[in-house]
Amino acid sequence: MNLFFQQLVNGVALGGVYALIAIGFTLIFGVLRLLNMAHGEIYMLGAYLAYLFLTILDLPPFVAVPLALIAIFAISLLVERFAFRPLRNAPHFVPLVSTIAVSTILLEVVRLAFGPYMFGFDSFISTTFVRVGTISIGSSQLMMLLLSVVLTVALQIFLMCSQWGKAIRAVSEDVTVSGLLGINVNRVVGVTFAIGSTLGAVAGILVAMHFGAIYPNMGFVALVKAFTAAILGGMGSVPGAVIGGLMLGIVESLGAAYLPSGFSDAVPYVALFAVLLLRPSGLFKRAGGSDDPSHQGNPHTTGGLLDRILPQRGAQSLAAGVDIAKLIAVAGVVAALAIAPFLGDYALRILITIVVYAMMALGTNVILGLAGQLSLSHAAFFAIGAYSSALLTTHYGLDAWSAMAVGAMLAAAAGALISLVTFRVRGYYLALVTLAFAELVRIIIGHWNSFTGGMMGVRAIPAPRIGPWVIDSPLSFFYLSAVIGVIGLAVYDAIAYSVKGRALIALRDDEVAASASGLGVQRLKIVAFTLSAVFPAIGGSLMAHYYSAITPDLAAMNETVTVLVIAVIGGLGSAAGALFGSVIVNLLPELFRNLGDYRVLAYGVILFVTVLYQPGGVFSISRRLAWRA
Amino acid sequence: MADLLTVRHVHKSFAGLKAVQDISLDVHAGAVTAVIGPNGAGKTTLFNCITGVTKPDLAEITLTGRGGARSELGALDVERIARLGIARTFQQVRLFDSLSVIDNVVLGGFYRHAFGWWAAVGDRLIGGGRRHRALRAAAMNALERVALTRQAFELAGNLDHGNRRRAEIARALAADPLVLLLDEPAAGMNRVETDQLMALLRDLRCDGMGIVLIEHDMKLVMQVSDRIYVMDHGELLTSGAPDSVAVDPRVIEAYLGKAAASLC
Repeated sequence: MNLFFQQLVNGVALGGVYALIAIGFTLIFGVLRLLNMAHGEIYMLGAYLAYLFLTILDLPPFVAVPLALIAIFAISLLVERFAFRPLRNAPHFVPLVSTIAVSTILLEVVRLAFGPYMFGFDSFISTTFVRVGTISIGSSQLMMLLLSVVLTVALQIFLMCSQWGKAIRAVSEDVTVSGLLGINVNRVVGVTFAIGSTLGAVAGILVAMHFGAIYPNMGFVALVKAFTAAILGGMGSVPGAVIGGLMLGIVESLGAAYLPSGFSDAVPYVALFAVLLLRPSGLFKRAGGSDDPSHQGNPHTTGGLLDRILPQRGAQSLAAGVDIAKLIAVAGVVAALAIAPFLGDYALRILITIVVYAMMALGTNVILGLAGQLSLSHAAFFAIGAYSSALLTTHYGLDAWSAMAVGAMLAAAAGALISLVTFRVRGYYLALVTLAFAELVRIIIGHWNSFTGGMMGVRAIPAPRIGPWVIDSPLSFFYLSAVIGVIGLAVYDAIAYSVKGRALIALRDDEVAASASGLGVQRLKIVAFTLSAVFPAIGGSLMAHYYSAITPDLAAMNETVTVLVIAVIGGLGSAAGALFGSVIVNLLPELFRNLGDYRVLAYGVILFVTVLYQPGGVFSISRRLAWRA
Repeated sequence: MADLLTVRHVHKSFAGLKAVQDISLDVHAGAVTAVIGPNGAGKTTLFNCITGVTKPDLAEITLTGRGGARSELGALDVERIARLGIARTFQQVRLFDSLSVIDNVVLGGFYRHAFGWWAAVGDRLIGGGRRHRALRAAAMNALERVALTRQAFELAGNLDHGNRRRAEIARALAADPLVLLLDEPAAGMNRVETDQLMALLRDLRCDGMGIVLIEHDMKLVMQVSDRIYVMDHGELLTSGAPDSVAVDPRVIEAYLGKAAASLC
């Protein structure tokens, strides 16, 4: 019983901090109608700046902490100005991808500047404990609780009573009308974003003090918790976020006490699923205004880079003519097949990696490019495919082909399950729920030591065989993956151009009109999710057999980001685009080998620039779809 | 004239605002039924209740299908209602903007074809898209009726406003519906286009389709309608033949105010 009350106290203190993160997140959502995926990185950056000023520059706390917060405020103003403001009228997934790009860039900059390691963070208040009976409360916990209460109350007073607060509430009700009434919308949005971010940074510093450590990846966990808390309380509601944060903190602390270690990390994700399943609009309050931007413009009607470079031709002539993107892709594949025997093992490995990632990007193309659902669980399907192959061949003696088929089916089942669970969830919500699913898969794989090998992964995965031949040389494996890749591209292309593929696009363009035309919306979604799981699973299976050893990192967030980058750069929805994007992303780092650690940063920057200047990608599929039957 | 769609006692409130109150109307095959009224009278909400886009608080809506089978629409979702033979257009045109006009129309009638995923993908993979081309050829008929064949291969999102309305009507026609609900089809059309629309409506009426029309263009309504229902503030003001409705003082009052009504 003592443990219970102790954990309850811990939970309330932790929940206070979660509330702070969630308030910032929900405030930004309220005004920008944007799930800010970079919120976690701002939180992380706050802690790192405080560390920089406190420990490295050795400034006194009352200077260092305000300085860090002012810096965060300024950085957020810049981020809003350059990353989000230009995209305010773009379709909803475009600014979301932009926040992912910003998050990647911030994370990588910190990782490169400070290193990927954990740093000790010395608390600048004396560490003492208050004892109440048998329960002890740390000074940092008291401070967490106190500060979150003070800041929440201050924010609420600011929002309700000040002129600025009224402007913020007006903008969150209706941006256009607020502008017409003479409110400087850009300034209000910028300042709100900065306030929300600064609250997140305060939370980051508090958590760093409490746990005495900082590390670059601390932001992602915070993001998921902020999102869960905000959803629990009803997206867009500040008091709701506070209650959601407290509940989450308590549930998590109790989970840590009573669940096997490692699995308590899964508690927030499970809570997220449960809430979205039972009460998609939150436990307390319905979000004000519409959060479903289903009726916005579409980037797919803007031509891709290729359409701009090449002279525009009449629709009819191109209908009978050649599809240039496809021609380039076919020429590239033929060239790769021809020169492969003359390539070294290293070059072959790059080619195989290109095929694997192109397969993953095809999954993104189905679900986002065609059906317009921003699902981010591709890394999970990838890992399901890889682990099925690895475990079934090593533990159960299945041959590689059956294992690949089983993996694809398991992933398909997972995809169908996600689509059923998330049927009522759309847009931004879907992005985070699917991301949480991927994290859940990673946690399970990483901690189920007896079955998946835990963090050590699986080793000695056998090479596939075709009849008497063992495909174990890099060259033969390249040819094998090339065959599978070409089949995958052809099948995807057939899906995209088929009437059903166009029905998916119809669903993306206008769900209401699609169902009023008698199209079975839910069935289309289920099939889209299922298909989008199969492609990455086959890619993952190839990966497992090629490397013959895998680890849970396959399911990590950055794999999903990489695939998103590939699909967006190449041109969402286009088969040739998936291949082209994969070539760019896998070849670029090789061309700049000495960039080394800057590789992921480069992804982030490329993603960011693409989203800002070329949201249709290089090969836009839409125009071609119009002509060809 | 057979009773095709009987709408009885539709009620719908939005947070206290009574958008539609106790509206009943009959839609006959081979007739044009018009619903008119000032802005905010609840006309579009009534359409949304019939097609399932909005769930009515209370309603008995019965459709008599082709074989004489009667279906109660109240409990069905949007797609089910569409599949029973009720097609509609929207006040603000809702096309699939990143698809071509012809594919919009193909998808409008697509549910009538037993065409699964395997068949669709196989058609592209080994059939060279033959079945899709056949569907497009069939869809051309609907485009011909609205005189939009020249724009068939343009992206729907690139059409101008009048053509968007016509494309949306073509998509609804592709479903070969029993009942066609048109929400302000003439809005934004010029006189020539409106006349073409009138001719189309008369053709469809001859084909035996039941047409329900929300429209502000009184000339069009008076010339084409068989029966007019007048709504105001969610309630049914009056209904009757065009001649009687046109001179009803309550209708004039609703549209122009009390002073105008007393002048008549």
